[in-house]
Amino acid sequence: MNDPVLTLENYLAVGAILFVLGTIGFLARRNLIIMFLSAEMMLQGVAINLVAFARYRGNLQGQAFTLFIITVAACEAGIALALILMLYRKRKSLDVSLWQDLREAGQEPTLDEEPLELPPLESPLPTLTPSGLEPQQPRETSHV
Amino acid sequence: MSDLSSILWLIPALPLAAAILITFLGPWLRERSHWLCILAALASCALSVVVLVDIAHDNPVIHTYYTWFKVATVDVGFTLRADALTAFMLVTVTFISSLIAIYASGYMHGDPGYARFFAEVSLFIFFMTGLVMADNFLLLYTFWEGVGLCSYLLIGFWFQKPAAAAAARKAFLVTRLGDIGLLIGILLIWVGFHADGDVTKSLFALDYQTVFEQARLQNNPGLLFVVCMFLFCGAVGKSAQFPLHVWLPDAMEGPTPVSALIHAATMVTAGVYLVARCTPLFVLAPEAQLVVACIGGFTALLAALIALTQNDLKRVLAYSTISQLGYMFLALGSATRTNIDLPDALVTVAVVAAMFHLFTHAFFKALLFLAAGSVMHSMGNVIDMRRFGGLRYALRTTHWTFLCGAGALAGVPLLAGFWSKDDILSATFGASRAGHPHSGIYLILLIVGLLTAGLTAFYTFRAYFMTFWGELRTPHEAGEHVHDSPWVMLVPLMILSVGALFAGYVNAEPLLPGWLAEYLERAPSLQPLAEHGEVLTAASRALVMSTSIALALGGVGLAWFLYVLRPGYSARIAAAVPRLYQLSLNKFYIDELYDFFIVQPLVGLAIFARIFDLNVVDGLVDLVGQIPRFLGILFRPIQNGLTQFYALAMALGLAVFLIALVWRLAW
Amino acid sequence: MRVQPPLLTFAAVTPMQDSWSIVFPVILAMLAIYLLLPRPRSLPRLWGAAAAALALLLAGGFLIARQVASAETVLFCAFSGIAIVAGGLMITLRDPVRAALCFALVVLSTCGLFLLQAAPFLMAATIIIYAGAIIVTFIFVIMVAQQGGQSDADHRSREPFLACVAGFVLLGALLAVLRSTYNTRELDAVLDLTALAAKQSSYKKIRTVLADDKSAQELASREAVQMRDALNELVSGWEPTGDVEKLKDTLSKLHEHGLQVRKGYGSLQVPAGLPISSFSRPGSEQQGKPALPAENVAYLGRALFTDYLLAVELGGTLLLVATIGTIAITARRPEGVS
Repeated sequence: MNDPVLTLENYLAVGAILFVLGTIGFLARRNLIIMFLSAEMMLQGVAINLVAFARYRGNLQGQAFTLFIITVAACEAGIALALILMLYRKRKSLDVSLWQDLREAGQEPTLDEEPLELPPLESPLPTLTPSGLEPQQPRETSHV
Repeated sequence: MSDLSSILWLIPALPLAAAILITFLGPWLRERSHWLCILAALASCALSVVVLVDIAHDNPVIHTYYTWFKVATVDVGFTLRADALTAFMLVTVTFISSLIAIYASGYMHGDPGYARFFAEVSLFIFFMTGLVMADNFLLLYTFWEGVGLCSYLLIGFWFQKPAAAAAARKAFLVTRLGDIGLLIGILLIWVGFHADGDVTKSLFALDYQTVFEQARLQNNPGLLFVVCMFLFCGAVGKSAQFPLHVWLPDAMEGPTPVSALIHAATMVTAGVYLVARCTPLFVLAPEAQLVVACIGGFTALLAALIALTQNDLKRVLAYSTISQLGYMFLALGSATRTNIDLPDALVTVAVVAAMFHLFTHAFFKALLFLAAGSVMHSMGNVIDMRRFGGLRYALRTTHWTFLCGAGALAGVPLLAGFWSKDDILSATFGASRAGHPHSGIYLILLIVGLLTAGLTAFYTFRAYFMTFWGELRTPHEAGEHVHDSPWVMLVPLMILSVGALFAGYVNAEPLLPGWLAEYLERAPSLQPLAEHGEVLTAASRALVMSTSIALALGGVGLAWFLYVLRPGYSARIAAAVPRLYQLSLNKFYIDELYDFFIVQPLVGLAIFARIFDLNVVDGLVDLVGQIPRFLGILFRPIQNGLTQFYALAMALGLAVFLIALVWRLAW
Repeated sequence: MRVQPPLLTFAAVTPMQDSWSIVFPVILAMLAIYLLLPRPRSLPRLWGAAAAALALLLAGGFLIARQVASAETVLFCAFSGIAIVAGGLMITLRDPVRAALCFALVVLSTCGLFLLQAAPFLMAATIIIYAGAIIVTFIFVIMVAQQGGQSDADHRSREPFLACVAGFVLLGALLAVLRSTYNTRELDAVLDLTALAAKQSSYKKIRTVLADDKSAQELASREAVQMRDALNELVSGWEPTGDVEKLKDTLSKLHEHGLQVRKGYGSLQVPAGLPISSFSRPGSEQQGKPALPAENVAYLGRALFTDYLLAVELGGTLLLVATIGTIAITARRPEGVS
């Protein structure tokens, strides 16, 4: 524990990074499941923070707190997934941007502008080489 | 005397009460509204006679009923004054008003605005009596505006008719121009007069007594001239003198009783009253008096020339009113003094002549208007003289009363108009022989006055002969059987014709004592300046009188010749001088000149102002009003319904906050 | 995360013959790469991956054996590296199932970090609940809702630039604050220096100890700077002929003060009011710095049912209510879709 390399700061930094990654995932992704997973990741970052402080202070406050966070996270996940299922039943999709109806009156709904990449076309039918002549082929010089 | 002051306030108050009552009870009173008005007018008339008699024995009464405002040394109150001039005007005004109110109850019968008419007439009587009783200039100005208002209301009585509404507007605006002059004059008195000759202190007083006393002590003839000019400006507007005479002929759009009351007998005489009241100021500015006389004389001649060719009976009478008012101002302008320090008989004679002519003119002009109204009433509201004729047997009473009035107007000897016109011409002659620098001009004005007298006789009897002589012709609007007006309209005509015949005897100088002159001399405005005496020798007076008799009878005779003996001659004369005829018929194109030079530019300015107001001013205000809307449009896209966007907004806010915090911590 | 590179200093000191055990990881790594290189007919990739994993493990063990870095450091780097990379993958992968599995990896790494922080119970609890229950439920929902794998929504992001700006500004601020506030390393170094100085016998030795200290430059932490300044002032202002015992006494007091400061590190106010009972505060101290016991579960249980009893009961109630709520929300009503 008295390693001069690792201190409280390092653990707190990891917690911060996980938290921020979770924030970005929540803000940027449009799949409801991924959004909630990102939220859970934020909670994980917080948990790391709390446990690090518990170790630093030498008492179990942080760990108890973390336990309750996990409890609440479980409840939240359950209810969130129930709600996601209800939303899915309405629109048959997990896209969160379908739910825009609580916007200002007279406001246009935000639609996607950029077209998606089309899947690559199937390869064209194979063509046969013209008969008669053997085509020029690079000769293999080694079989290694 | 104390009991006089206790009834003095009733004279204007009773018509005011009648006006208010008729306004509120009108819908209930309807055809009975005239009772309140007539009773109030008669009561005021009775009280005015009481005042008149009282003043003959005692001193004038000045009583403040209420303090209007009091600032430092300035104290302006509702002060009413009763002196000779006031009492005389009061009796004239209330008597004529009562008779006209009685007449109008018959004339306006069946009109849907019956109650409104009598309310406005009562209001007018209130304002007019207040005007002559006001003791300070501010109060005078208030009532001045009040009579202007009533004139507007009554001219535009049938406001649904565009011509009537336009005429009312024209009257109001033109008299407004005069009123501005009056106000400037009053303000100049307020500021420009110095107290007790002390140049550093302004007088700041507006009651007649103080102003007239202090006027003598001012060492500034230029200021006095300017003040008198501005006061006269108000008179020019209200009494329809050139150049502000254009509203009076158009005012004939109103009902005939209105024309009789306001535009013949009472309101238009307010200007004459004002100048007469301010005689102490005018005598100190002889140039101003000269201007007054010149404008009076010029207007008299101009109006007479226009009246020669008019075909509308009421228009003829309107122009004759303008002309007679010109005579009154001619007289007032002749009240000059040779020696500035000594009282002069000419002042008395001239002012008395003007007031005398006002008195007699009220009678015969009101009579003429009411008779014309009676003719209109019988002819089904047709007043164009070319469409009817020979009515003297069909409308007997109207005919005889009209004849009395026409004779009085023309100056037929021994009738009322003769005496008063003669007094005016004598005064002008006296001024032309007074020996001061402008005497020569007064001689010219005398000649103008004599010429106008002849023209007056001519056009008056032209109207009379065209209406009542010749073959009986009635327009189809008159119906099958033409009959005279009801009694309620004829009785006032008869009373007024008695006045027209005999009113002149109150001051018929050579025959009877000049009672009016004696009475008026005691008015405080005149007293310090007056000296009872003669201004003309008997020979000069006889000369003037005989000339005016000759002209009057000559005019009557010429009218007889052209319109009864040889009816076709007038048309041939008109054809011989077409341009002159057109000039006279079209009122010398003065209206058109005003329209081109004044009215149209103002209309353009009004249109521009309206466009500016609607587009620029309103546009700016609307723009300011649109700012919240723009702000809303700016911020509305934030609420787009996407949950992640809201969370992003929160995160960005938190980021900004943190940066600020860390920045502060680090530095 | 600042990692001191001690490798260079140690590489200069350690003689070559002690490093023969590095050969094993190197050979295994070579084998792994050789197996993984593309060939027309290659062995299943599992062999190459296993070899690579073994190589990494042995390298870590080598580092620990050579005392280049302690076991804790290596494990910390491994776990946090995996957590961060898996977190990044989770938010950027298009396939939601793969993202869920990456989340599982995050959870496992986090549990490893818990273990490093002397919280074994939490590690177990997190794995069971998170990886075992929550992630499985998520994958179930994906199975119900998105059988096609990737949907159009997965190929798009909402405001990627602003989201990244917001997130990384937040991260930058957090790291800056951590750097300036929670840098216990420097404070610990100064405290150790103080303790060492207090143990010396004479004034000259004290001054030598202070002079030898090489971390005198570049102290970023405010408290460490203050501590250091106080130390220097105390020692240099002391009369060389004065009482050494008194100086040592003062140094011990300074040390105590420093420990107090360290205890209140990062808190706005040192908590004075609410004492923690002996149930949750194990009370073992090393050099004055607090430490956690090895019997973590026992102590945690004791703490939960004494100090935090109310919270536990409420937590249970919350779970019950959530369960009922979930069932109530998703029950299909007879009329059709609710």
